Amino acid sequence: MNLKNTVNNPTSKPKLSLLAFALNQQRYKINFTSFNALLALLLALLIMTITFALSTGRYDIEFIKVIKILGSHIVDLPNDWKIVEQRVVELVRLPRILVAALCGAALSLCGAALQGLFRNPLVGPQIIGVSSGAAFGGVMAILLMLTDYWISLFSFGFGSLALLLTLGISRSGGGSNILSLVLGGIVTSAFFASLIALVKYTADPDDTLPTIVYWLMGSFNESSYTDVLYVLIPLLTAGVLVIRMRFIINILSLGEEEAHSLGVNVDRSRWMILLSITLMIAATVSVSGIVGWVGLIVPHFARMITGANHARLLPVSMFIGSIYMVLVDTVARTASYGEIPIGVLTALLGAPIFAWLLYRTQLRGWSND
Amino acid sequence: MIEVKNISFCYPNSKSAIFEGHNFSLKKSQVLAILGPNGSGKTTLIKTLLKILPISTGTIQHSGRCSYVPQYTASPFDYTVREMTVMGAGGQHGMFSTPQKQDYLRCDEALEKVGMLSFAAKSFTQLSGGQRQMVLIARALVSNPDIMILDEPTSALDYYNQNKVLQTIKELANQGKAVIFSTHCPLQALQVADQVLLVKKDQQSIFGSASEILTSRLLTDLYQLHIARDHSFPREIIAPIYD
Repeated sequence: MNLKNTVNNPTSKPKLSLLAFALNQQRYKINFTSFNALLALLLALLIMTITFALSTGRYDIEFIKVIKILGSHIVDLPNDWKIVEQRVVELVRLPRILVAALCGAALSLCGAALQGLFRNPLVGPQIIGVSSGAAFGGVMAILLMLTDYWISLFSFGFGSLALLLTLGISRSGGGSNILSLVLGGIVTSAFFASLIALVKYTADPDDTLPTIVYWLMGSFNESSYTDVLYVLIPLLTAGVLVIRMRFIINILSLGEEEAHSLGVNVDRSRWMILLSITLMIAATVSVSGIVGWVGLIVPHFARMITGANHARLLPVSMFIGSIYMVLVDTVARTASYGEIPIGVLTALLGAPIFAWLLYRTQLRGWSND
Repeated sequence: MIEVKNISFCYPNSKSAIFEGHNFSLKKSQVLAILGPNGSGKTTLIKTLLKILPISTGTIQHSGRCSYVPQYTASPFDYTVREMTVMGAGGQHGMFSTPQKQDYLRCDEALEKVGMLSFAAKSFTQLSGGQRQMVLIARALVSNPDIMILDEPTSALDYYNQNKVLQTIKELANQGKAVIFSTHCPLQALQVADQVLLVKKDQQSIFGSASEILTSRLLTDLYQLHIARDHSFPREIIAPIYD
């Protein structure tokens, strides 16, 4: 990219480490070389995190063995590991870790896109009511003692219904602005939260109630390769769509009228993004229950590294979200004898981190207006 | 370039019109100033010209691209000046478009035109009001418009920056663009505009050449305050006489 006036010529600071280099570039124009380097660094970090997570657990497996087990699928390696180790890595931990990574990526992508769309850095995937709707769907399926497949289907169905409700409420006033959308989201969330409470009240306290409560707290326990597909497919379709709309999200973050005056079809692009996000949120809820805070916090960290431009923010958020989720899930399954529900852990970590972010932005300001 | 006939606007659930009966036309290289008290519907008129709001009656015909410079922009996110400017390329190429190399080149060209290229890598939110206005003008230039519409571009600026914006408006007109801007300062209209539209709520708007329309009588009637126009200074001035 031949752009004049490059404030920070990358070639002038060759001694900086890669991350510091990327950080140093953050405020300036898109420098594709450094941005690609940053993505490569994050990918390497993600792979390392996943390998570390695969070797960690109640059944300890050496790091090198994990690499060998995985590598044996690509190249021929001498088989010096036990069959049980291979099973633990490939059948127990890998699907779970992949689901965690994909959910982290999807939730963070949704959070970053929603924050841009709603022009508000305090927005998370819960804001449009889809999480509550999807959670209610899952809870209903559990109450009716349906299989996992139905839990996913119900989650997605009620998640979509929640989006329709939110849109319906926001449009009933004749307006289609962001504020009415937020209010619609609040109403929808509250509505489904009360329905969930009702289901809990009617559930069998010895059987379905504990399952519901535990499911709602979120967990990647019992994740299978089918679950990997449940999240991967929405991420590859809806997620790619959202990333492709990165420039439009930049413009939408300036506000409706300005976006309109800049030639953007505001309504169409907004609903397209919201629908894609609904698909991803519903998919994550269906495999893991409600995992809060990730979509709210991760984009803030990503923004610190990349700046506000969604062209960089969205992919970087996904990587950081993946790494964060895999790490938190590793803690969830190893920190105590029993498993800590991941939703509880992300909230426990999320609240203080968010308080720190608030403190930091209070000092600096999101903008100087 | 742009021809507006008898347009009116009222909100869907409201019976009273925000404005009605506006007529004006503007040719290439001409500047139109819209003057009117607060609440007279200047901004609404601009939004209808941009088709952000639909007109209730009348017709708006214009040839060529229309571009808009808002009074201010408040994004909660900290875009750089170049990122902000290149958004002027907008959704021209569809929902999935991203700015291409030529968009960045046009963006830098536009920034250079308004003297802001050296700020390209700076944060937009850290600029002064005048600098921001210049960046917003550059952003509007990126799409290479034929008509530029500016909503009160000088209202939050000091005299130096007001002058800078007005000079930029003149230059844009010299380059063949039709420029429409709203202002609360009749003197600016007198010095920059060829045509003037006076709008007042519930009254027929008045349109004509700047020197004819900007009389003490019409302005006094418009603002309900004595406005003097004096020919004796080295250049003509128009000033309010506060009570």
